[in-house]
Amino acid sequence: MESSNQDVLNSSSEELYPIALLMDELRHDDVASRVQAMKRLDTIAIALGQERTRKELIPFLEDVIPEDEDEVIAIAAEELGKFVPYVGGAEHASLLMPVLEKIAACEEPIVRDKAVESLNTISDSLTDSQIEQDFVPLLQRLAKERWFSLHIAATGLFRSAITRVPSEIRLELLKLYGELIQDDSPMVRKASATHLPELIDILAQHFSTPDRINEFHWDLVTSMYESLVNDNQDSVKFLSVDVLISILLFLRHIKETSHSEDLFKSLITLANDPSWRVRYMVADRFERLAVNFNDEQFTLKLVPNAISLMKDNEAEVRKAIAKQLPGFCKLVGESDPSLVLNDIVPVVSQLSMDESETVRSALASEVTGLAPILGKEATIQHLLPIFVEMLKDEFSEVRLNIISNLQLVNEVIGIQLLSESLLPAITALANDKLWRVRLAIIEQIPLLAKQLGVAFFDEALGQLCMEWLWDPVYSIREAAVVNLQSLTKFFGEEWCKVELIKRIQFKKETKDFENFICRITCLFAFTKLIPVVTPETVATELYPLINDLRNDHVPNIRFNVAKSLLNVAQKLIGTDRNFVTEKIKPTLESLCNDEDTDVKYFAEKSLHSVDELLEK
Amino acid sequence: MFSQDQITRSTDYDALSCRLSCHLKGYLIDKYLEKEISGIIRFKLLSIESEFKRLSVKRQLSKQFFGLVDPKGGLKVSSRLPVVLKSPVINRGTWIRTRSIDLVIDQWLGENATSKVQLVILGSGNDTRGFRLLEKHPNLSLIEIDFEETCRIKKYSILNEIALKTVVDAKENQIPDTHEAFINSSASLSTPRYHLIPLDLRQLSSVSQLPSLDPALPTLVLTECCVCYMEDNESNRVLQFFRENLQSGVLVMYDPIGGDSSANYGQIMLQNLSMRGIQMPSLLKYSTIEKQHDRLRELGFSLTNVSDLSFVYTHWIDQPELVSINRLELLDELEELSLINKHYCLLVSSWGTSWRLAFPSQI
Amino acid sequence: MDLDSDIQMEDAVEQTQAEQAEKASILSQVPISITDPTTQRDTLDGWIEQLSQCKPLSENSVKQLCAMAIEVVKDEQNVQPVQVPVTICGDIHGQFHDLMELFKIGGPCPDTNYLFMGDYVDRGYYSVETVSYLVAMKIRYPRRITILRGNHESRQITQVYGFYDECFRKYGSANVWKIFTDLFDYFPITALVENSIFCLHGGLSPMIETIDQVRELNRIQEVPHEGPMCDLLWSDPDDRGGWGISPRGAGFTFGQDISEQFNHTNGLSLVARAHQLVMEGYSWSHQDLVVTIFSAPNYCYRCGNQAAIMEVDENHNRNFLQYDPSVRPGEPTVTRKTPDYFL
Repeated sequence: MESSNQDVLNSSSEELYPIALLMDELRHDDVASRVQAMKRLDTIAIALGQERTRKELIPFLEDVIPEDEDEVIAIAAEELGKFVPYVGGAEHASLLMPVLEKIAACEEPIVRDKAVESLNTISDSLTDSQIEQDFVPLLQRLAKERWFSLHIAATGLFRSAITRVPSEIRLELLKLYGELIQDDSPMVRKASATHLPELIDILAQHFSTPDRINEFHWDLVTSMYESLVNDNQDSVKFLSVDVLISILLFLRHIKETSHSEDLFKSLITLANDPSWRVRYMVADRFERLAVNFNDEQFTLKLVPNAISLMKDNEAEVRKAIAKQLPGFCKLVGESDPSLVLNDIVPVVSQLSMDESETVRSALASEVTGLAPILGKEATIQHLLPIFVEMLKDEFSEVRLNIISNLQLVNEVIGIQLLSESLLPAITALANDKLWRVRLAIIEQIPLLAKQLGVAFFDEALGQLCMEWLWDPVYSIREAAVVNLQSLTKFFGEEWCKVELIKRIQFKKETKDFENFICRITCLFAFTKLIPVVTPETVATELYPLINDLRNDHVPNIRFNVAKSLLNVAQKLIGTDRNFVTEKIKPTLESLCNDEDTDVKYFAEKSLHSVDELLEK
Repeated sequence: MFSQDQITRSTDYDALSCRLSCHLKGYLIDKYLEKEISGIIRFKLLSIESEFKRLSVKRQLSKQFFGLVDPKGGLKVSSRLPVVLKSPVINRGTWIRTRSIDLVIDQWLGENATSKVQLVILGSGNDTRGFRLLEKHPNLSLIEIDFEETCRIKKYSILNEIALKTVVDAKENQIPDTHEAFINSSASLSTPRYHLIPLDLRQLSSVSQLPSLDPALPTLVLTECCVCYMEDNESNRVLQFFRENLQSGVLVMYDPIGGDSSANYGQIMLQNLSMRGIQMPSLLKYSTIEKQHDRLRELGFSLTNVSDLSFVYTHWIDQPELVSINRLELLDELEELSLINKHYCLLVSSWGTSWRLAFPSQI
Repeated sequence: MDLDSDIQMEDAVEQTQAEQAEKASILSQVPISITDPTTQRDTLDGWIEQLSQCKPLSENSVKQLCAMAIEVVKDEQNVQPVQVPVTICGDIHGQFHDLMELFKIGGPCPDTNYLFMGDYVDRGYYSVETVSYLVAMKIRYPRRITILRGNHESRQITQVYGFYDECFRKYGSANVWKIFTDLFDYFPITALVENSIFCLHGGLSPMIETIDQVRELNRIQEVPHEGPMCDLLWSDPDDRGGWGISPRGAGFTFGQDISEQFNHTNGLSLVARAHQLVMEGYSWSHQDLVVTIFSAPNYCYRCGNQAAIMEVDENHNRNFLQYDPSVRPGEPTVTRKTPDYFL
């Protein structure tokens, strides 16, 4: 085991070299150098071989690491997690634990977390008896020290041990965890509460069968939950909500309902907690809570709570519950649709005029999800007015969120109705001063077009689609060009010729065409249309304008002509080979002699590809 | 573990490192500063029980003080300056902040040179301004108020250093050398001329809490980036307390202001500061010098001078001094400096006295 | 909402970016021949792709990049002629994501021609990525993009304002800083758009009356502390007439009378310059004889300003496009990166 190749190779010379080098680098004043040195820890270990890694490198690290900067320690902690093979495999893995224990004591959360993570990784390669003999004592040491940071570290380690120890030790560990849940330091209580749901999930996974259910230790788990619910710090108390979810999941899994009433009561207390953070957490997890009670009578009982959270004093709470509305309303709707319409929707309407823009924005991103739940009639009557108002919101994100989520509404009420009620608002937004709002509108256009049908589309939106081509912002022009391609796919070639190609060709006759941006946009638009129309249309309608621009005095246009001509050639090669050899190729050849290097480059590139096409 | 007050106290170290940077660059000459910082580092570390936490705090302090913390826990300034001090814009801003308040206090003390006067510094932190004033003005008595933890560290920084001890005329000799002894020691220090009072200003309700304050003496109350961390009603109560309990006085207040709501400077500032957990509850409420002006007037102060620091920079400092400051280091961020300075105000107001500041006021 | 009040330490990951990016890229294994144009183009396209994701190049790649760049910019003139149409941009200052926003607004290079008037580095958190990207574009499309020198493209200034530290942090040594600052010496200092718009970072100099005098300068050196080259990179227009002492400690302030005389003498319609933070992104002075363009929105993550660029079309029509900061996911996210305030 000890005779790895590296050992043989390195034993001959420079025996002291690796560790001396590391020491040297770790003395460097600059943090970045020390970070780099730590990153090479594995190389050094390989060079040293397993025995010397154990006897020299690890003790050295134990000495030096706690003195260093957080960045350096963090890297060391991470590296040590991969060290089991370098110290000689599982049987020596425990050797890595003292140094990681020291690092875990570090106050900086990132460093501590890395150490905990590495300890957990190492635990995977330990045998159950090593867990009991080495890992558990370490965990207990950390949990019993007087320093809060160590307690926090301990809370992250239970998950690796809890199912791998004999029954009596498990009980001991859970009791110890119970002490951490009631630790003096709120930071520790916070950390242990954060890790508790995971711990419960692990217990549930292993001990849900009738013969092992005692090992779940229901009493201990619920008493920890109780103690969190009654914690005097809101930043701890609010974490009990996730614990509740894990408990509910377990009960649901074993089909046990006798505790539901009690747990429901505690949830109601949390939902009405004086601290907004606690209420926030309930609001934020509202759907999952309702789902996991898994009982329609509780779902219906939650409606008044949802409503009071929607009317909460604290904006963050309103924001959180707004995001839960579609999910929760779906559950409610399955039992009693009238409750959604009569009790919840009126409050949604209030929320859409909330004083906080972030609440309105959160609502806007979710509110369209109510349409499928309410169905066509109710959506038209009750939700559409809300959408229309929100599309006029002074805060752009609200408008943006409504627009981006209209698809759902469309599926419920059909595009005809949607567009009739929302088109005025949409056209108003088409010229919004924020370009990202305009972009969002354009991205909705293909959808609208697909549903509206040609006639209605031309009348309502045709003009707009052309105007976006001349927007001052490039990204809008680009999106507008892509949009034309999508529209052509829906409405077909004849429509494209009349509504798009003719209009763009007409642009050529106007003064605007003297502007380079106008010309290059026309060129981009025509190039984008090539794949979606027939070869004939390309040859007769698109090619002439593209070809005319080959002599443009702006080089940027000429090299884009060169690029575009390749697309034309690809389209026509199958139907009209002569067109390619007689028209496109000579043009590209002449562009290859252009005075501008970029024109030359792109012309040569296109010509090369055209030649390849012709050879096939 | 990180309480709001702790985070607020930590801002004191920002101010201190800004002043150290200015001092090292030659903007401000402060013979007490290095000594004070040395002591602060030493006693800050002593105030921490855990060895691990001490290491981590030492590293933080070392970063804060440009890597000048020596392994034994003092400040070690050599002739070769670290490459990175504070940026020039921050140095200029710190300089004008300190210099302008000096100008106000110097004028006031100059005009009261013959009588006994007192200076009260709210949230004094580890500022050394008071020491420099005590040295120059024999009739001055100084009262500094801050959180208990801050005062205890400052107290022993003073007692530990002969120069500081002499200037405040302290007789006490006991310096705790263990953590236990340190945290169990009294945080207050009282000498005939100097009173360091550990007190959470928000708890200030009666003059009996400030036995060393003589309500009859002419008094200057200085609050420099202190009330901005308090809730609106708390800060107003503190200001009103001095207005009501002192017969005559001058209030000098330096605080950030959020600025015009149309520009979002204040919003961005709150966002940036919140990443460190720092809150300034009324930054957007008293967002302009006009609003600060109205606030103090409603609290019963008559205003003699209300300016932002950009105005102070251009109107209070004479040309030769500016020229010599400009020579210290290139400043490429003129516009930024003026933008930042526009978001700090200096208010000087008085009551029960006819005293007026000799510098121009913006409004 | 942040429910966690733990204060996070600075992002240790950042220090490893360069290295990670290099591991991800296969470029390091490709032997690069600077003389072969096809290989050079492919290499550059690979670098540009990597940089456009804000991943820095390896030190070795930077070395090659700058060697190629010197070949390209050393033969450019002190007054580099530029044709219309062109989009003129001001300070970027390491705000990489905002540079990408700029291209979203103005259009990608090479389809749009660009003229940048300096100050690519310092202050922002991504100076390395920003300047590497622009330099790579310059080598790849020398006719499509012009990059001038700003007062921050200098050894002295970058040691105070962040580029030096950033290089050190990202590469573990000052080598990359040295390579770039050596390159900066070759950057042209002014540009002349169709004999009509004189573009430069700072402003005019009392020692320069004609554009020909700029042509005679020896620009390939560190930015001097005084003299005409220094002034071109440091000066500011001012409401007061004549020449004034600059409060910046370098360059001068110049009044409308100076601008009138200079534009008249040289047959110019406009002096376009950057250098000063202006809240709207652009600002006219001297009765439209001088325009200031600033292209770093919310400068230093603190100032709350808009940014702007100026499009000049082939008929010399000018159009300003203003923009706000790009959506920067989680930046600056860490304690150390919080901008300084007086506390």
